Amino acid sequence: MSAVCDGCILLDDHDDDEEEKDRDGNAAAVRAAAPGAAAATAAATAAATAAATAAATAAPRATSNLIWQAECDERDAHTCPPSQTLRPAAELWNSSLPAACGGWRCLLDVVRQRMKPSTAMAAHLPDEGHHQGQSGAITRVLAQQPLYDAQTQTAHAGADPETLRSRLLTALMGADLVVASACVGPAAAFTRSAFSLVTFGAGLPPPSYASGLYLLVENQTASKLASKLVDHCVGVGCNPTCGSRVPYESRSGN
Amino acid sequence: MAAGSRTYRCIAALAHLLGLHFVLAAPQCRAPGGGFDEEHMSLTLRSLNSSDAVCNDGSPAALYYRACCDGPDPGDWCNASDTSRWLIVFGDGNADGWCWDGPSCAARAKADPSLTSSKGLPHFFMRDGEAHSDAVGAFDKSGESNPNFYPAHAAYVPHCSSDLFTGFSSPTASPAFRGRAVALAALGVIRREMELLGGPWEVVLVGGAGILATLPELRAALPASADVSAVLSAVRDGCMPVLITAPPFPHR
Repeated sequence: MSAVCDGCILLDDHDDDEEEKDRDGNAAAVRAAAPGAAAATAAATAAATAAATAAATAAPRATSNLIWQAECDERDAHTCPPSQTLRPAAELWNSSLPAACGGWRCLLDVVRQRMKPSTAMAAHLPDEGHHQGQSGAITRVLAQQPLYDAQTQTAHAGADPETLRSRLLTALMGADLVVASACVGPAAAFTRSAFSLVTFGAGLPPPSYASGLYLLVENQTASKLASKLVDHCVGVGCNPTCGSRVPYESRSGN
Repeated sequence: MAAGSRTYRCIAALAHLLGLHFVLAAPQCRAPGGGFDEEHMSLTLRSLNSSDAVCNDGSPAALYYRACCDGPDPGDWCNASDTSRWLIVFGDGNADGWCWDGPSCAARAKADPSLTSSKGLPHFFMRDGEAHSDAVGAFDKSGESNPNFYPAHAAYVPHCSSDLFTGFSSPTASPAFRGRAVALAALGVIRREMELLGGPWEVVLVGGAGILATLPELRAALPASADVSAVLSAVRDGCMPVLITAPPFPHR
């Protein structure tokens, strides 16, 4: 399990079998290999105590998790795996997250959950095909995610950057429109100047986050322009300068 | 400026009571004496006035709100559209982070009090010291730099409950985690404004994982006839170094 960058999306990279074990309260399914010190902090609540005890004895699953754990300062959610913080957090908050999608796990990878017909999230995020134009429905979802970020790459050291990027894109595919940048810095935002200044590909004016949101609101997400709102860069790690920018052809692979 | 705003609200409330939604005009962008009316050009702090909707420290949660104002030029501002567009942004997506136990909550309150309290929030929403320039992105009032969304009613709900807007602890707990009540109270305030100004409405909800996970409940708090879209996003450059060096609400 991993959080990505600023948590634009909290990526759940565990398989369904493990999810089931986790929901059943099987402590052995606690995935993150927490070091002892981290486990001690997590023990602040009863639920965290159980998780931490199990975590201390669980075998590490992946190199990336180990590295992340080593950087977790036990105070900042952005430096720790969500499995270590979100689970006790949801209890501490008396969180109102739906039990059907796994309580605290509803916070993970919600766009992909929307695609899964078997999850409660799919049930209560209305399907566009059935609800378009029907009152009371959410009609469209846009997902925004930076695909390049030095910190993300660091946190996932040992993981192939292209694989990580591919996983992010896969997680976002449930959205009606995806805005994701690989070549233009770590992130852009709706309440910063990057909203209109970060652009993708060619055009007059070139497509931007702002135009992506406009497409969403105007219900034009099927337009050709929409497919150009995902940047692709060549080479391991890429970088913000992205000398050879290659437009992402389409989400459907054409 | 404040008096003008109060007058507008009184007229709006009266018109609402009389069912005169269609005659309501948006507030004027320009001040009577020349220049822009800051109260109508910027997102302005407003308390949610709900004992249920509180921040971690028990202070009343707040939102920033700006109605789309009109200008003297018929092509300006909100004059041009019959549809009212509403951009509602919750916190900084997940970029604000969260806390999960006593030590992490204490550290969060110490590192950035605006993430756990409404005390000291500036009167105007601002980024990098700017309240309505292109530094505020989708909230920018310039038609040149923000052509699609400058004529939008805008709201920003600060994330002061450290719970991704999902918490439902006792309001008197310390710290309190009342994010869900904060989100719903904010939408209640915004809905009243929407109904005062009249529809049809296009609404864009922007938020992080907590908002997306509770979307159905939030959507139900808006008028059923509204056309609602959702944006799953962090709403600023939120990677850790930026989070540390550029708190979202500089206390000036």
